[in-house]
Amino acid sequence: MQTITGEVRLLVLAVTAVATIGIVAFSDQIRWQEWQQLVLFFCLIALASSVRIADPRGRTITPSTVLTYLAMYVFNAPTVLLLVAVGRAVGYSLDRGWVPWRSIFNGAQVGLSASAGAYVFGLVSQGAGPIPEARVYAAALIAPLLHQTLNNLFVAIGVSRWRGTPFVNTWYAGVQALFWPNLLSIPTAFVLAILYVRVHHAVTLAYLALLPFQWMALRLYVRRRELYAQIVDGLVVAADANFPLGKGHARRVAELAVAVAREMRLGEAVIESVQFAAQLHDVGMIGKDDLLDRPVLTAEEVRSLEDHVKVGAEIARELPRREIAEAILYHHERFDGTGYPGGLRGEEIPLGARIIALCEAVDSMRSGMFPFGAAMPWGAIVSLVQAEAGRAFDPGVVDAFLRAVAAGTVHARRREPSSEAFSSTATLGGIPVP
Amino acid sequence: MIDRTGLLRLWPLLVVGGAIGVALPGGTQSDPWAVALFTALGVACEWLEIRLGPLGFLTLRPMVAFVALWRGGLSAYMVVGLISVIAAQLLARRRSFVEVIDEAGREVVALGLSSVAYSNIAGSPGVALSAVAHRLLAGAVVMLVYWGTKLALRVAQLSHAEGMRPQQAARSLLRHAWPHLIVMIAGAVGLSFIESDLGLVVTGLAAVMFIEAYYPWKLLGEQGGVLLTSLQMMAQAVDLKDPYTSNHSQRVSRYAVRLARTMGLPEEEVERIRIGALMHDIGKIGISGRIIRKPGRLSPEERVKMQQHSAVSADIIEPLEILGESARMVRHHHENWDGTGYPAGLRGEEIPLGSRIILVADAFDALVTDRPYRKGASRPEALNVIRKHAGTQFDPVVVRALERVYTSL
Repeated sequence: MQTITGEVRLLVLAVTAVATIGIVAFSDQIRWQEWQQLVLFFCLIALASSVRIADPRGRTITPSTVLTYLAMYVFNAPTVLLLVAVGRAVGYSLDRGWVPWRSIFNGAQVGLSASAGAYVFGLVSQGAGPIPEARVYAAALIAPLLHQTLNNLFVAIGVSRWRGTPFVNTWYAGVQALFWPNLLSIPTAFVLAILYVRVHHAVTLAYLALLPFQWMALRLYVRRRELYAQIVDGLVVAADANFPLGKGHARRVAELAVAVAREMRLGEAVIESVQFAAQLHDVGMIGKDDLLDRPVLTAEEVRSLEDHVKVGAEIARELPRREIAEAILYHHERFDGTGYPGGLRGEEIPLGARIIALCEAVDSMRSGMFPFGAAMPWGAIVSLVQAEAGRAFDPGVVDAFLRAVAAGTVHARRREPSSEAFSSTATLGGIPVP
Repeated sequence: MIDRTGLLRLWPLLVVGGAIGVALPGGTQSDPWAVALFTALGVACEWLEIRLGPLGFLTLRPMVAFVALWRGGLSAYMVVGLISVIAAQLLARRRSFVEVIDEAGREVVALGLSSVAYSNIAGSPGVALSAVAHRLLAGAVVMLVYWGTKLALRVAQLSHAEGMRPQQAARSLLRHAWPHLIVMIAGAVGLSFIESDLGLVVTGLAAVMFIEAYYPWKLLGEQGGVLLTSLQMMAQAVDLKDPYTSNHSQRVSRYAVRLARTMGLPEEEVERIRIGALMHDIGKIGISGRIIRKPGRLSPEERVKMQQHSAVSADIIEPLEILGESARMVRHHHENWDGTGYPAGLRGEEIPLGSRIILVADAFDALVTDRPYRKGASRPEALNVIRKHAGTQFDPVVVRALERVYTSL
């Protein structure tokens, strides 16, 4: 059960009150005579905001953004306030259930920011003729941006008070994350608005006919990405089983790396490439299995073992995202510049590689993998990592790791791979099982 | 010395140059801004590749070119189509000069045929048609002729270069293409109405709207490539256990696809064979590099371990979706036609067809590549060795397919 306290409650009440007063005070300006259009729009917005599609970046998107922009272009501010506030509140609770304060607050804040956008649009484009001229385009650009900035402001105030994160950062992160997708919605909404005014308001329905076609691709895409992640994971687990005590190592390092990267508040795209790089970081070791079971290695054999980073990077170079290969190549660099292969130091080492370096060491220590003889106690691992800040590891990454430890997202328990699909493989093919 | 292929490469250059020379003055003279806008939109559309399975892709560019056709006539159509395809090839895809000219040559053919169709059937409203019906007819005819030509050229190329049966290639391409063709006809007509009623700026925005709405299709297509690349990567990691077999799996996969297509297998089966061949040695992941690299005879124990690899490969991929469909052919890719192979001793038609194809591709690659103790055989020598074992080790049908394509593998 989500409960709210203090300042957040004050914010919710204030926003809801302003929205309600706005609707009541300006109700005479709402174009009730166009009731068919109002009903159409209300239904569309409610429907659209109740549909969520998983976005490639792990967020969710709804077609309601385009419809909100469209409303800002074709209606006056009070009408937009009513339509968007009520429509969003209804759609939101259709989708996520009716939690009074949350549904009403969400509707109210989107409604307020959208009506501010509509007001500015009216102001800037006032008196323009039927054929759009420059200031109409300018207004069409400014209004959605204002709407989104205000929208993110309300959310950021709430979130930062609730979770105790710094307000400006939260606001900026919100604006940044949604800037491009929202900017790309503007032409769509503008074209729809022109068709709405010049042709017929039912054109909006034609737009809805295009959506399933788009969603089909999006859904297939998200599904295919899941499959892809599954396949890479499965193959990597099979590869890990090649090494003494290695079973599940890559997967565990990837879990650690994702936890640390989240603690560092990196973008979803960066987190994803860190995750892939962590899963694949030892892919270059596959050919070097016979070196690991020897008691003593010659200098040449040590060099060959160290070459696994180059082999791994060479293999991963095929992938369309170059940063994955970079992270693999440099994951044995040390922050003080004494690592291999390049002897890079500090910030010269790609961030992904710095994260993986720490996470690989942590997992090797807690599971007693090469070159550590036996599993170490968790407390000793944490203090060792702390001591190595600025030496082996990036102090920033160490901080994030410690925060993740404190928050309980990483811990001592050595988690076994959740899928046991490969246990039969391991015994069948004579793959050494720890 | 000028050989024939050199001359063959020259003719598209002449065609493209001639087409630009003829169309450019007329096309840009009427309204240069419109032509510039449509060309820019055409380049943006070209960036948005919509994959048609593994065999090709299409883009929304002809939709924009149609608007140029309706507004500016045939020369505007040619200019927008040609310049945008050349610019996109050079800017976005970074193709070589020869490839760009080749692509532009095909574009001239498609643009030319659709122009002819336009001016004969749809361009002159001889019959009494309403304005909307007339434009719809024109849009449908232009799009269908344009895409018909493009697809036919692609089919010809696939059957020439890949040995595919034309009807197989055409069916596979059309199956993926038809929904997009319908959207494009509607889009072309809609855009041209927007252009004539609401002006150029709104048309530009509407084209951006189409590109935005289509973006997920581009992502979807790219993801397919990423999966294949990753599989190649894992296969290469295993191949590297023996430096002499670097890229072995990738080559075997290429040969097997070629053989399967020559034999006229449906594209879905070809895809399964592509993945199966790529993953056929993945089970060697668990075998020590010392055994794999051992040049002499293996001890009985080592031999047993080595022979387990096909079953291990199958076990690794079986639980994984998509890959699992290839597991059976991977498991049996060391079965011999006469029943003397492993792991199950299947014989003849009992062995999955994919396995029989992979076995031939695998053997061919092993024969032609260098080893520490011998140099690789020439292609005809390799074919002779394989032919000698047709009917005992290899399926004679697959060997016959190899005879047809071995020179170009």
